[in-house]
Amino acid sequence: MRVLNKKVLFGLYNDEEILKSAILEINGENAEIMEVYTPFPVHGLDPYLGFNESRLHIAGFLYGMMGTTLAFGFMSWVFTANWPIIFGGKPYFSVPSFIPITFEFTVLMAAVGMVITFYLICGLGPGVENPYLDPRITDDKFCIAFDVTNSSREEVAALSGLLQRTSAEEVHTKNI
Amino acid sequence: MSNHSHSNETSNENFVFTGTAKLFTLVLIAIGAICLALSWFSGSDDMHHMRFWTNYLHNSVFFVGIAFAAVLFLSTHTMAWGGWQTIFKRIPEAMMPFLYVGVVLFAILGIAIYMGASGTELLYLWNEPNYLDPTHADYDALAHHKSAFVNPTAYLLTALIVAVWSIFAFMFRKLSIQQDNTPHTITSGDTVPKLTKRTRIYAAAFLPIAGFSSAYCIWQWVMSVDTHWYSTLFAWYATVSMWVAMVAMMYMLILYLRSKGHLKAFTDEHTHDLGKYIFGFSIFWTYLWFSQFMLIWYSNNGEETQYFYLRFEQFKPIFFINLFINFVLPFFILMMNSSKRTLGTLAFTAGLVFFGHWLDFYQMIKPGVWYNYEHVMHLKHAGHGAGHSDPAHDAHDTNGHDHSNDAHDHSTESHDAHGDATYQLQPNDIQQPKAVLTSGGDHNNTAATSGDDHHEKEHSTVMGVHIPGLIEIGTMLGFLGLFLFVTLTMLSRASLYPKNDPYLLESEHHDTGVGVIKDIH
Repeated sequence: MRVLNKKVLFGLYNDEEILKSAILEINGENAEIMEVYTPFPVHGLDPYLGFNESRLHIAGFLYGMMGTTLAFGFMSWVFTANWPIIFGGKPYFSVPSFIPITFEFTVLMAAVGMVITFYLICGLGPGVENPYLDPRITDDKFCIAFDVTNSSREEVAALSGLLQRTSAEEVHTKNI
Repeated sequence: MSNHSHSNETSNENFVFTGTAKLFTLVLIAIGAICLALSWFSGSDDMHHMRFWTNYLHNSVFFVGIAFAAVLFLSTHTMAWGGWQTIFKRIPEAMMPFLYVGVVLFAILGIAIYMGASGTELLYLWNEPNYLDPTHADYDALAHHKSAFVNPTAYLLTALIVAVWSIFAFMFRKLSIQQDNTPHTITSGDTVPKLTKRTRIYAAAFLPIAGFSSAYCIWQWVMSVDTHWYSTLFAWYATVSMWVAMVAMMYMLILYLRSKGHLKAFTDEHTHDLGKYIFGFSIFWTYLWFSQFMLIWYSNNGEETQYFYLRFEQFKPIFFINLFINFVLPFFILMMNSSKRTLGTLAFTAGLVFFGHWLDFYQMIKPGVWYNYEHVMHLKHAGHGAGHSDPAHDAHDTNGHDHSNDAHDHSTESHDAHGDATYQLQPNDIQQPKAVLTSGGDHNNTAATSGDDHHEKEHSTVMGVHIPGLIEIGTMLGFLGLFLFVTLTMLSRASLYPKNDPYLLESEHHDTGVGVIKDIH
């Protein structure tokens, strides 16, 4: 398992609406949230956490364009220069017959490219074991985590009180 | 009502249809009426009546199609337990009643075809009895073969189908408005949950009916214009075209109502999802367009390729503008999330694809009718239909263009020589366009000038045929005015805020999950 050498204070919530109002309240107190973990994607959470629009889809567009160019260019080269074959009496350079493969390859490149990019960004991949705070976060608990590695005892107590005030069911600390 | 943040929404949700808006739609209707009258009375021959009927058919199909797609929109969302559309569901509900007008429109057209009104035999080749008569010189084997399905009686039936759609439209609207004045829970009588459930039953019944009957109508209305041609994909392709136009129209109406201070609860999230619809269904339209095109292009059957050959050779601008407006532009404009959420960008694209799909129906119908016209003219020049000889035709043949094996002369050759005329249309059967509309209507004289200069006229562009003329645009504006008149009248008859709909809260809190920080209230 990867070791991050971090001390984390986290609160567990039962419902995504409670989680959202808790985040708003914590934002109001100017406490810096390290990360929020949810068992499923909670709609509208990104702006609460101040995230900008993801740029993954721009990468996806570029991968897709790459796929289009590669597929169309390769077929054009093969069927006009490298190994011309007549299919169904059509000209060597028959654009309509290239389109389905170009389309499919565009989708394939965009999808696979985005998955690989996403895995690299998130540090995921085969054989990687990332530390977790609580296994129930993947089931039915919503978690707000603070990085308290360099915080004093008073600061941790204050954050802990903040979590409890915002209706956290449980508050724990963990070294990961 | 008491437990959500928009409890004051009902205050300004009653749209009033008066003044400039009403005048505007009435002016549009007047323009349309003038254009229809012009196209009918500008000449007394079939050619001008053909133009009248073509525009009439084209716009009827397009706008009735939009109303039909609105019913489809409501029933699919009801069946899918959809909630997000509730906040603006009064707009599709107000678009549906154009189907009542549609019944009249298609009853008029159906009766005109039944009576064999002037020009309708050019609209649909199957409406000329001579072509269906095996003993007649102009016998058309393919038209005869299909006459069990495409015939005046079956055509008149489409008005009945629009009437069936109208019943569903009426019921959806009635149940929805009834809900406004129904308590949520009461021991006897109608309750909100009961009305919602009844709406679902109607929606469930409508979907299979719509699936089959829309194909029937589109085959009758649009596909049988190209009497010798058929395509199994055609009905889906045309329906999706209607659907995209409907979503675009709906969005523009929402913007109009928003500018009047209504629909306060309509947010960027709803805009985003409507943008996704325009984006996604534009791509789906292209998918179907291309599937139809590529299979026909690849298999290269004469009777199938004639459809695209005609459009590609004679209607090239429309053919490519259609793809450009309806695929390339919405695809690249709406690709980014932010552009789907930007009011101006989406409004521009909605207007674009609305016109684009009008143009799509234009290129489905006009070239086919033009082909019919050329076909009939050819038969006349061959010395049959009109019973007069044409020197141009003789000059034509001595020029080395012996058409004796072609489809157009099958009336003489195949019928006499082979008895039973079974032939396949070849792409080169399509005659060159003759500038008839610009000549003041005397097509016989104009056609007679062909011959030696036949090929110089190969790609001459005829206004109102190869590109939409002012009459076409004016007729479209007239039908648009009528559509808006009906829709806005219906909008003014009920509150825009369906206050008792059980999905209202879900709709108001609808969230696509990609909002930026400024969206938080």
